[in-house]
Amino acid sequence: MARPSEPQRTKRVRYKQRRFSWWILLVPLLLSAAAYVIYLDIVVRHQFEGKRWALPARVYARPLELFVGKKLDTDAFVQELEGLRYRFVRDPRYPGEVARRGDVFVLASRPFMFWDGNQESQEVRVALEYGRVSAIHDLTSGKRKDVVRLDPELIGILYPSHHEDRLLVRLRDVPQRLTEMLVAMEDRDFYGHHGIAPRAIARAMLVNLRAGNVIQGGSTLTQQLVKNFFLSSERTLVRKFNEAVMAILLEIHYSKQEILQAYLNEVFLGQDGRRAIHGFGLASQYYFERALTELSLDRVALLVALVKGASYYDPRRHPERAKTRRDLVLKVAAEFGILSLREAKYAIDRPLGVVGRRPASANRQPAFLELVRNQLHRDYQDKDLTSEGLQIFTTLDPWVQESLERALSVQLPRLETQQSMVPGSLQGAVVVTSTEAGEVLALIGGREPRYAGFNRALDAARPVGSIVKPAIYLTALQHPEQFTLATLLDDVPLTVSSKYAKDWQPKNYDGEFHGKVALYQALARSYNVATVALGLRVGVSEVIDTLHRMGLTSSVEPYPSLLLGSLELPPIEVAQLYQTLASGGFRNPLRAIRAVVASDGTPLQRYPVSVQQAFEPEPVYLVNTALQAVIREGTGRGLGKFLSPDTNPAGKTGTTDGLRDSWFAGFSGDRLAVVWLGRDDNRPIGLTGSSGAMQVWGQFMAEAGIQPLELTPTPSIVYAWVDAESGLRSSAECPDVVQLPFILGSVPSESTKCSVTGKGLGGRSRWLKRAH
Amino acid sequence: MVEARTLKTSVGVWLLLGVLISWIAGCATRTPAPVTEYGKPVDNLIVPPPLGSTDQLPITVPKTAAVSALLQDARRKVLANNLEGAAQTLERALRIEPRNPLLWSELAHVRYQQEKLGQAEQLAVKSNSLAVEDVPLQIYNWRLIAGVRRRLGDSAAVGAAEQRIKELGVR
Repeated sequence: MARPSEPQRTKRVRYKQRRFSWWILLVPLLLSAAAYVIYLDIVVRHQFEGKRWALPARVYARPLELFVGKKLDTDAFVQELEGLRYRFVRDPRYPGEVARRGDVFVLASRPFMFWDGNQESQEVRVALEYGRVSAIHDLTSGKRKDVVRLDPELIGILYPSHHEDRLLVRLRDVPQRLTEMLVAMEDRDFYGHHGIAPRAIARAMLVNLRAGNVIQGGSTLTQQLVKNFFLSSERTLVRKFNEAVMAILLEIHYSKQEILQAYLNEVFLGQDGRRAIHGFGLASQYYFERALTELSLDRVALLVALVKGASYYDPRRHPERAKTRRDLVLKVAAEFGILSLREAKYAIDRPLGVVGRRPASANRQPAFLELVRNQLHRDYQDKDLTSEGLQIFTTLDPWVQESLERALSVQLPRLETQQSMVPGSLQGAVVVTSTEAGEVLALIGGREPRYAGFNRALDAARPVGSIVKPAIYLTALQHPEQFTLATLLDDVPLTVSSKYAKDWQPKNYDGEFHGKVALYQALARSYNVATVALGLRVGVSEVIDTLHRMGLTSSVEPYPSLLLGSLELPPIEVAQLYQTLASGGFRNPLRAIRAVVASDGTPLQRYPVSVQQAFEPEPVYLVNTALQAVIREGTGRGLGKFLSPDTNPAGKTGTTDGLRDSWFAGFSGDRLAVVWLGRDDNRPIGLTGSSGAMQVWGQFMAEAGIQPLELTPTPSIVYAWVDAESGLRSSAECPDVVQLPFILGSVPSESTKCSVTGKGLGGRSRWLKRAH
Repeated sequence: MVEARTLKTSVGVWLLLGVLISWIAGCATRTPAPVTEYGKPVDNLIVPPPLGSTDQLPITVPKTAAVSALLQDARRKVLANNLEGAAQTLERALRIEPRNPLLWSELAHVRYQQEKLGQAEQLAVKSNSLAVEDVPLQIYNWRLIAGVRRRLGDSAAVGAAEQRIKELGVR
């Protein structure tokens, strides 16, 4: 037998070697391919499951509660409804629609998930009469309804850094025809394929070749979803390969329903300035101001049309393109039997139906939102705030805010002209709260409320001047055996020596000394000298203690100059102090938030009404009475031009050295407002508390509607007639007497006969009437 | 007029409920027994101090039908042991009538039942500061305050509260 030739043997050996080496290469190749696929699998599953989309937090104003007897004028109601984007129609059928005939409104409120539970849509008829709600009827039952709460106005959205916005929808909440149209247009084999559709790719290639242009893509919905998981939009071959593999993997792990639902919430459908509109839920609101379930067929088709290119087919900027594509969607839908031909024709005939682009109503209240954020940051990190889809319910009252802005916009230019100031140089800040519960109703941080700049209401600590005085008087009046409203104080030249500073001689604003003045007068007229004397008698540290009890958090140096307000505070802290007075001695922490709710409706945090008695009611009653005297006869007299005397508000003017700051803090039956005016560069403005800030306060209260202030005296308060000059007990018939409240047991024991002073004509008597 | 009629009806219903509640509260003083209402026993419900058999009902009534309705709703929630829900409904009512001492008092009771004793007392004090003419309500509030102080073990303060009750009872 001949041996195989050498070359053959080598060939066989070599072949064996080669095959062997083949395997050496193949196995690691396969292994690494497998590892890679496993890696992609992990990535795609992680993305899909961890895909709790970063949902921005939505911030809402207080909901409007309608009830019989509520003060509400027609214009204000219309304004609220417009702010809520209710559509005025002839025949309301859907939630969010309202019809108006004169003063009668018929509306269907939108269902809404409040912090205290889900509220269904309510169909009601509301009748207004003489500026009040006169009747409310439930249209379904025909019965009278006691109270109707409307859905609250959205006032802000707290975005994560990438500014994506969504309203999540569940597959079952999406109109079926929408998904059918979507599948027909974008991926007609969706239910059949396993992630990629080679047939679709082939079909697309053919169509594109024939057309000579790329008009059809071969990507499945699954692939598009995967593409959207990665924010960068590189279109490399490697990327496409990865996406294809991941699409297949996705289909292995998740059902068609899950993938479809994710897609419906992920797809990019529009750009609103910096805000990116993702998902059909939000797109429906953005383009049509309607919920997805309320959309007509033609509108549904338009949304589906946008999937291909939301910017290219933007119905507002390119209506013709949008309509053409929408009609194409409708035609395809008819072809596939999703719609009848008639439906399709009817829909094609309809105009686009897109609402005009409104400026984002959200974030019109940057100053208030900043306060909200500050309060939220105590409990939440910024990351949670902007990504968990929190629903934040606040205390903001849009009407009050509006009245306030109007008052400021009228008064500031007027005052600037009056003072020959450069227009735009006079700044202001205002805080408005509810007196009993301490809820912040409105906030202004600067003269341009839409602009998110320096928030003076929260951050501009300015000398408070005479605004501090009530704290001194409150300190004194807590000792009724020593001080009453009738106690005579010495408004005479005074030198204050202290170890902290050189001798100081306080002066009154009018430069005069008034001798003996009744305590309440010294406060009403804001006499500096008498006040300093009083403050020194009770002790500066006592006054500081009172300030802390009123809610002051900053620490204060015990200098006598504190007595004239050398303390620097932002308006929000002044509001906190006056809140304690307005509530009758209860220190309620000011709140801007009522509740925080998770995106699924679970309540996360409640900010309940909480009170803390800081003072006995009687001394506070006395101080408040004196603050009413400020308005009736003291430095706040000028309010008479805005408000009728029956309203009887309480307040205090505040002016600082050199007329650099103008303050007014005052409260009515239900609201407290603190106004500050001044310049950012701290130069004098030439305005006192009454000529400046009080003007804003007065106009605001007049416009917003003021509720009369009725202080409630406890049984320990008695009224007595007192002679104004001597502070001694007198009687009603005498001239120059005043009726004052006293704490039981502190009424002046000494009486005086009627003094004939000749001041009043025929026994004029003034009284501080117990308000009715 | 519509408002007066609504008011009268609401007062009637309110009185009925008031009687019902005080009856329940009265029953509860014998032993801290679970309160039953509509056939549902409610466990761990700390019963507020009773009004007492000779005490009158509070004088204060809601000024609006809305508050009447919300008050009734809150009371239903209390009986269903939905205390936080009751508190929220009362807060809603307080936004409509912020100076109604009855609402503050009811909120005080809810907080008491939630074992938020500090707030319960403060809310009762707040109610008193507004309930100037309504002596029965003041007595009711002071009983609550005494209850809180008793639970906190402050015997001197309990004495002060009981003294107050005596003084008010004399009027």
